Amino acid sequence: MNDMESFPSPRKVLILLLVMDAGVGALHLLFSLHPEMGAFFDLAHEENLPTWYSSFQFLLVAGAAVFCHVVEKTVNPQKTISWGWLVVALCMLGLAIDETFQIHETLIDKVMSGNAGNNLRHFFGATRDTDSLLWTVVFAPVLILAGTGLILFYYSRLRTNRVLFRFSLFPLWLLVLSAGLEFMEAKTLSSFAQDPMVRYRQFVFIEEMAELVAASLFVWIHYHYGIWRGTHYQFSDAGEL
Amino acid sequence: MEPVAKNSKLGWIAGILLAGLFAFKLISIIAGPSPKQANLLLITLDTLRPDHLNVYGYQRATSPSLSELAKDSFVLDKAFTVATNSGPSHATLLTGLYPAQHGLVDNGQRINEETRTLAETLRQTGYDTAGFIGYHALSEEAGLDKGFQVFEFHPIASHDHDEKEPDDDLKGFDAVTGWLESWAQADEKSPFFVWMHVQNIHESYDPPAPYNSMFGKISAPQPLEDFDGDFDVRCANDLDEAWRAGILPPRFKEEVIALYDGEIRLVDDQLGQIFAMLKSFGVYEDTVIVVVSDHGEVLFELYENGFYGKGPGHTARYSDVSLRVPLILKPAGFHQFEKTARLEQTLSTIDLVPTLLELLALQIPADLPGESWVPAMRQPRSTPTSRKIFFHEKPYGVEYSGVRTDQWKFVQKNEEGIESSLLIDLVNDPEENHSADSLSKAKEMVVFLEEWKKENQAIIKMREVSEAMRQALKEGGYIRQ
Repeated sequence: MNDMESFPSPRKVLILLLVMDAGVGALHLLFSLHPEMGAFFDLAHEENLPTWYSSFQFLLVAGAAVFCHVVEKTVNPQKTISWGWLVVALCMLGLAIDETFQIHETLIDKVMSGNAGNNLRHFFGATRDTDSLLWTVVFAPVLILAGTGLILFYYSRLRTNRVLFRFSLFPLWLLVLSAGLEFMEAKTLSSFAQDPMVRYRQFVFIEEMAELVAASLFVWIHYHYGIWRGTHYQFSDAGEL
Repeated sequence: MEPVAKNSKLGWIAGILLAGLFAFKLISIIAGPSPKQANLLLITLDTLRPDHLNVYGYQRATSPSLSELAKDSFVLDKAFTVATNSGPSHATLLTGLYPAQHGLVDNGQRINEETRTLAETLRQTGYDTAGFIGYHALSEEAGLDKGFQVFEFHPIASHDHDEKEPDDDLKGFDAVTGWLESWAQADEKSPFFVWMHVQNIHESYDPPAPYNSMFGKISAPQPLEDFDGDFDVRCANDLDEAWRAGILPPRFKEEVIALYDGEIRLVDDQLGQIFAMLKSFGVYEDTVIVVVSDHGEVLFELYENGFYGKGPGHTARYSDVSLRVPLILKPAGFHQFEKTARLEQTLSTIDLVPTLLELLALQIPADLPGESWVPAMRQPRSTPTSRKIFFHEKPYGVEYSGVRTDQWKFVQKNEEGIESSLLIDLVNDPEENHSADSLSKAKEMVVFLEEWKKENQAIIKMREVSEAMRQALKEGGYIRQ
């Protein structure tokens, strides 16, 4: 696959994405408190620029995974593992749809209605207005399984490029951090402190930026892998699953 | 098996185990028994001194209903407020934060937008919430309505007897009983939180019949030497003016106290009806009832220390009769305390919110400065551990802060940058007449105060009182300029 050289370099793609992330972060810092247009730039809000940008990023992650699938299929048509990239692409597509349509918020609202919600709120010391932030706790088993699957899949594909594999763990760690911060936001908003909003906004900023950077890194990792795999197709595939 | 496949298998096992553990814990939480939640009736009796209640040893029959309630309750012998102004003190009772933390340091100001109230938390937990107040400075403008679905203001003209309407005295009580009746009749009901602020006992001491003559004959308005116009003992403005000018004949003092006690008895009778109503609805057992005042009252005590102002009144007077408050706390039956008792420790109203949260089966946020009394209630016979009591406020722009231990009280005043202070030895000078001459003790108390400020106080920003609120306070006689 000699035409790989005509693709933009992965480094340039990463820099572009990180600059865009920084831009979204800067818009939040500059305008989120503006009385009229603040909500449009606020990382804590839904259905606005950061949400759409985040959805777009996950679409890019899915697209880059499809790219990896195409490359793997081209390089080695006999191997079925390339279909794994399509599973990853589908998961990322799901996240993109969820970002825009807030599916997990709707699901958590259903879980938190009734006695289950009362018990969970009591256990975690949260109030009803923070229900949607507890989704990371309630869906933790599913998230753990999804994370395990992703780590093992990256391990199977990237272990021959140790640097890239190590980098692939970083966005996963950022997503774990992001989930933890969302739980902290629920605790913060349930608190009596005089400045919970200040702390909440700090948490939201870090959490949302972690999500954006994680998505950018996923795009880069997938894209980098696709380019690398296409360039090094002539090397051995020994040891692959 | 190849190493990659083996690693992958181990990874899946670890992931499934971890996910399984989380799922097991979540299911055990969700499927577990729900904590039973009590109703909460918080009654704040403005300006009530504990030593005028029978349960605190008063001989006149001012409070038979509260004595009856006390049989099912914990009675705190030495409870102290964090402020002597109604606004800051009530904001603390409703937020569990010190005045500088919730931001309402003077009547007419507002709590911080970000400050969460007990009502908000309980509403978010599914409670039906209703607040009934009788004083402007506790109104929506103070932000104390946050979290209440129903919030009603039933004012009583406090300082001018002539402005008082005949039904002023009872309409607050009627509103509460009306709400409770509606709640009881509802088909589907959640637990309730009702905050009932009672303004009647606050000056003017001016109860209606039969309470106006229950504890003594009251003189009709009459001319008084050196007093402009007829003097009416039932009018706070007249009383303040005559007492502060030193022209009040001693015989009127007994009349004033009889009127003050009459107000307490009026309130007690009304509360008795509310407690009876709860019993008739079958919810008395499941209701946590708290009776507390926001501050005490200086009647005719005179202090020679030159620091405290003259009574009648309470604001900015940090003698114990202003700072000490009655506190009666009835838990719900299902809390299963071994027995109710008197708590002899020195305690602060800053602790009320964490105590209530624990009794209502809610978590106590780590950032609340108070401590729950529930452990002391579980073991009332254990050695009392007294707290240092801190108070702080800015009545009419003058900043006061202080600390009280079982033996010492230290008060700092900052008036337009000029600082002064007072140290009282409460054991050797219980009348609080003299500033103690102990530099080392004063230094020690300053250290306590500074450490407390460092730990608990935000930067205090004086907020402007709105013109509407200023006018309301002025008309009510609360501010004079």
